[in-house]
Amino acid sequence: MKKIHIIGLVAIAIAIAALISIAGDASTYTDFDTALAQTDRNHQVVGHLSLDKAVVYEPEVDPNSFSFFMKDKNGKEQKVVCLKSKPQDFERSEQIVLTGRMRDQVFEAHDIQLKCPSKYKDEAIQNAEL
Amino acid sequence: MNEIQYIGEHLWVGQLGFFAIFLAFVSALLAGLAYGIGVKKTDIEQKQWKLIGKIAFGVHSIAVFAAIGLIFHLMINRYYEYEYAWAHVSDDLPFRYIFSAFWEGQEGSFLLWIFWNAVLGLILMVRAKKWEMPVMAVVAMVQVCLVSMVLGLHFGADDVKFGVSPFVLLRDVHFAPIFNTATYLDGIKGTGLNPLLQNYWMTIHPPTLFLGFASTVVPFAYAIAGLWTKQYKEWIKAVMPWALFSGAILGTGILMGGAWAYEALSFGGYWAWDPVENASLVPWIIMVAGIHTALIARKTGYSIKSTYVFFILSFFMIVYSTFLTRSGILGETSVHAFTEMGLEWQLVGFLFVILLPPFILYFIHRKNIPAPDEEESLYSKEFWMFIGTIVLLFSSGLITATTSIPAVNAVLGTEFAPPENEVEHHNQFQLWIGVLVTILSGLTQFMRYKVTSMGVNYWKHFSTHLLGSAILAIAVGIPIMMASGIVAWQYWLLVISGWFAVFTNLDYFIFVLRGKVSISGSAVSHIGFGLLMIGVVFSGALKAALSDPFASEELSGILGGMNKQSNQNVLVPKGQTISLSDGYNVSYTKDWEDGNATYFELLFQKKDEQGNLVDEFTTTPNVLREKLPKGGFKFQSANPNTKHYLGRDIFTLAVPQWAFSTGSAEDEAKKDTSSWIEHQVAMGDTIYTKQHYVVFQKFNANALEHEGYSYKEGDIPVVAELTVHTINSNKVWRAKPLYYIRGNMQYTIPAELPELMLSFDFIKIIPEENKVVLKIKDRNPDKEYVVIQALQFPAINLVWIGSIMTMLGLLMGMWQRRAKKQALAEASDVENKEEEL
Repeated sequence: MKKIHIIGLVAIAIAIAALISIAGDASTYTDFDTALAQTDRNHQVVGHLSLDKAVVYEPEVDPNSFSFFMKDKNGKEQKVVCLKSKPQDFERSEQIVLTGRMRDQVFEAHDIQLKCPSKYKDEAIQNAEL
Repeated sequence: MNEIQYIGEHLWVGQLGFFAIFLAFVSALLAGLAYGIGVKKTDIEQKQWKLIGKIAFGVHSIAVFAAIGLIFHLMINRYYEYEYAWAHVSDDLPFRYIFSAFWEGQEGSFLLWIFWNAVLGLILMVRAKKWEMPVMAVVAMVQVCLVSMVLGLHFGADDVKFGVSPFVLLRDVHFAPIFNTATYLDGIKGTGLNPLLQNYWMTIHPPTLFLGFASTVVPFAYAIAGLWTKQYKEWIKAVMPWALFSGAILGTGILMGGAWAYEALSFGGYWAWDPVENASLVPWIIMVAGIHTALIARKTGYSIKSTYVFFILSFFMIVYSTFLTRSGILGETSVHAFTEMGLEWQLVGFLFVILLPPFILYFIHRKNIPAPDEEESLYSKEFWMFIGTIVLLFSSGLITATTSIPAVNAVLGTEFAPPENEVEHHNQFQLWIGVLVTILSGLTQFMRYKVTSMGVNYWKHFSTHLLGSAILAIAVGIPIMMASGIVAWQYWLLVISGWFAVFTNLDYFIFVLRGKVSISGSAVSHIGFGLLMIGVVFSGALKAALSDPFASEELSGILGGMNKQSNQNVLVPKGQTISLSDGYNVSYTKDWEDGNATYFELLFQKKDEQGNLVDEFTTTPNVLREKLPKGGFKFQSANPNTKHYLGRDIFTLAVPQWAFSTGSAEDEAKKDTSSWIEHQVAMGDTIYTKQHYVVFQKFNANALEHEGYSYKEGDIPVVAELTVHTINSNKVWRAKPLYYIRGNMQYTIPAELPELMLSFDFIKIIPEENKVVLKIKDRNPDKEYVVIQALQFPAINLVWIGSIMTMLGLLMGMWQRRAKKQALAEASDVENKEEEL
């Protein structure tokens, strides 16, 4: 067997191991119902901000968390406490991805990703400025 | 419907602009075809095709420059009838940000890329000599693809779009009632440049990064030229300076992005493994791998095939990353991806154009590509360098696999989410890449090309140098790691292997190259990479929030699973001093306004156990804001300010209270009373407030004498004895709130600790649980305050020095090879010198 074949085999073995590991690290997006059912692990939930409910960030009380209501993709609404300071432009976000778990009927998120409005999609906001 | 005759529009700019871009497209196509057809022709005929190609590419370049000039014209003059001007500039945008505004949008950044490609093409026309025709054919064809992104042609019922033009009119893409009036231009104002992007990094980072992007096309074009003209090996010599140039510039562009994120943005770090960051890192890693196989190919004739693959792949990954970041597909996973502009399918098409023809060409010619019959020997430099490039390929493959999760979802319709903790996820893989690369970079410097056995002299040379460096690396690494308090052995390994790379390459520079700077590019790069790895470990693993009052060793044990990172914000009232971790405290001393920014002065002081001042500095973070017509401010963005020390940095960020206020004055008043929080505690329990911890020591049921209370017969008075502790001193405060029952009524007399801004009220006893209910009101701060973040980054300067050296080494390598071309005599000298080793 040539060295290049050995290297190839080793490389393939490492690659498979690494890909399995990546697949293990990757999770799937879930919803609030699943998060309610499985409270012992973290979930990544996609949804959007409920604009009719208040977003509360009171640094005097706690500068490290803020709360809001989010509707997931199935339309289920849930109170969320995010353990971070409130990101800029939070109210304008188009989509939110939370990472966290349910705790006492509240979804406690330790991480949050926002998708901000697209220049081309969000004509309503832009036209309002015109 | 009647056509409205709009007043005040400058339609000629757009018409000329459309024409310029269309001309650029057609002339690039012509240049590509002419150069391409001419490749296989001979003599006069070839000269004629070449001339056509040259003229066409010249016209193309002029058209590109003209289109860019026209965009600047409409931005500088604020022609808001154009969507691009309206969306990116405003009347009050300072002139120095016009460039930033130009490449803020997708169309502008495509044009920036096209611009650099045109410049590189012009240089290649002069310098590529015998490679000009095939190389320019490829460059011109890539330009065709790129220009098509800004063509803005529509077919059919406007459904099929071919590119998005930067010259579209506002009234053609937005539909608002205002466009029913002929004088609508009087009523609109530009929306301006995103305040986050209003800093000098936005002026220098994109052009550098896009020059890096553009430069990867040159090695790609040379690789195709090698296959096309069947000069399977010769092209490698010509491509070396270009590949090194590309590596240096692309690397510098990425580095600037990291520096920008660290210095000027509120991200709190220089690298977050964000998909957009990864997207430019991957092509760079592959380019570096290609540089190494090209070196092997030049010296030994091995690894020619890999060189083809790496250079083609590097440019392909540039296009793939463009697809990821610009198709909107990353929206869910990245903080700074572009949003979609409807070019997804065009980008996919571009991908296939870049991938398929080159690889088909490669597989057709693969059998003819020369390779030595004998395999590389285990004792040879080329073998271990090749292993190094495989390691780099792995690195890029792993990063790409994770970054591509959203693309996989889009293709397969799955719902995979990226890893929850992306930084940790990537670090766990890349740490090993770092270890392998640093070790190999030291090892191979003392190996020789084309040797098949370990002779005595060779072995002596090899083993003495390596052993020396290894001992030195361990001797330096272990004490440092002991002092740092880092326990994870993987980090120990990376730091020690980092020092190994530093010492071996230093040794190589001093004792082998004899300090000759002109040929020491590789030593400089590899020393830099070693230092970078060491810096990454310290600044990453020991990054700590000073502003986390609970970050001390002692308390992290008590608080257990509480996420340290989430406690990094601390509220600091104006004129007051707040205790932080690590012996520091911070005061918010003053603020002032300057232009559209408000600055805050924060005074940090560190005291040792005896109370002596050991460190003192001020930082002045600021926020950008807009003055509201009704008074007050609208918050736009926060800009950090960092205190630099030689061995560490302290990054600070401040956001004022008005950035959070959403409610009216009445709401504000209500908040004041709502901060009483109830706690049920048993004896010995601890309650955490924001800055302190409170221990409920015991009841005292005989508290007949108490301030504000006079005992009456039949009363049942109970005092809760509380002690209040801070994190950073041994000082203890005592508070004794009183609870008593008189007749059938319950009464309380709260206790206050004004200097800590804490109030305690003892409101209930729960005898069956042996518990009491305490209400604690934490800090009723003044109306003016800032919420600050203060992060400490140890050894961050090693990161900068290391990465700058890495890029510098690449540039030195380019310079060496460029000089070589010019002065052949000196070249042979250098060659011999290297051969001797």
